[in-house]
Amino acid sequence: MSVRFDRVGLVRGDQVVLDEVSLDLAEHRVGLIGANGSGKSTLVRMINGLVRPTTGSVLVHGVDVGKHSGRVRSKVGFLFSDAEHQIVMPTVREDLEFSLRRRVRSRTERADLVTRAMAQFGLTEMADRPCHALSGGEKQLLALAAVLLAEPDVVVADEPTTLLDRLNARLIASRLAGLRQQVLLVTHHLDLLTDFDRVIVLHQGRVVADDVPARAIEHYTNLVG
Amino acid sequence: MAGFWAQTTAIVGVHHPGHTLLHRIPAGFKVTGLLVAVAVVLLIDSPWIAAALAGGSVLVLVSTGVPAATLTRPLRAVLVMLLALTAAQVWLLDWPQAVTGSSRVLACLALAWAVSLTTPLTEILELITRVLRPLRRVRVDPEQVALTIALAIRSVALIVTAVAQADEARHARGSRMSIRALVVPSVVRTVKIAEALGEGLLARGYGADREP
Repeated sequence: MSVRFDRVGLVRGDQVVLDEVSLDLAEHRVGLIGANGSGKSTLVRMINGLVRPTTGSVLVHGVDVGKHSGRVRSKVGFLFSDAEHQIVMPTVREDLEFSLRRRVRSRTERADLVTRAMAQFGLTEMADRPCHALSGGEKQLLALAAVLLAEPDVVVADEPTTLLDRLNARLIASRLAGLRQQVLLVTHHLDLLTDFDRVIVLHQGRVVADDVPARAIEHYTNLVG
Repeated sequence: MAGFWAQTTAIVGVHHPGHTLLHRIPAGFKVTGLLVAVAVVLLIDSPWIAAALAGGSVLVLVSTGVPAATLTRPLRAVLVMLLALTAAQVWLLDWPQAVTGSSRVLACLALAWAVSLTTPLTEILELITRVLRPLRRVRVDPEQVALTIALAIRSVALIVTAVAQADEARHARGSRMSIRALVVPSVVRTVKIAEALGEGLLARGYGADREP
């Protein structure tokens, strides 16, 4: 599985958000860091067509997102900073089942898969609790479990720990790190990236560092002071 | 104030698991029963019979086995609304019509709430999808209709949250009485939430079959 950005550019009004970004991401765990407004969230949103580039193309597993965003979306799972926005159903169990509605027709099979996912993510106790009553960490766990039930090949996580305390941030990060899928993590929590395979630093819409975590993080900290 | 907003969301679309008779009845029977009961309630003209039906509906609601605390808080908000409705009707019409009108509202709300408490939303969506399947011939996608209903239910909670946040911000700024300070941020937040929810749905593969 690989994600490829080929001379990707994005201009909004007279502001250049992304400037000819070219990347080939084939590693298992890739981190993206940069200051607010550096273009990192915009860049990862292009992976499943939530944002379209003005120039260039994005390929996921060789499929052009611009031409086949539907096909790509079914293979790319996305986690947002605020999990609330991707929770659709009123209770935990129902929301997980919602992920399977289109893929699994048998209700019994769906129920089994949901039960297994809840056990795996420690959500069994809160199966019938209203989603809006969950804590931030629980909501993010639910969102991740729901994303994984759709069996994506790539999981893109756009600052999933920003609204969480340190303990929950670590919990979500460890869940992400343990996934068999390729993980692209956008974060400001630099300590979560130490075990990653590759870290990319974006600054003012350009890639300014692309290295192993220690060196990329050092570059970023020097950059922002 | 946050408590008030929480009470208004508690009545919408949250299933409460249990093993009562109502929990065991299949969703199709419950929804059909609800439709028939609502039709009967709306056809009744006698204030006494309407009031008795409202009382019976509240008993049906209580029979769901849902803890009293879960029921009483939202019910209190409903009763306040009903009192205002009754007062308005007494002023504009007369006592018998006011009792009939308010009893009808209470009966319909209680029955619908009982169905909602004892039926998972996923089962209701399955039912809608099944019932609307013949409409595929005229290009109506039952899945999309079911999804729209799920989103409508979800949106109530999100919009209430948006209004509650705007209300808190209004209080924090000391502009308690300003309607504009409540309405404008609420609308802006609601639009942002709608946009984010749309992204969330796309990210969860809904709309994945639609190419640009």
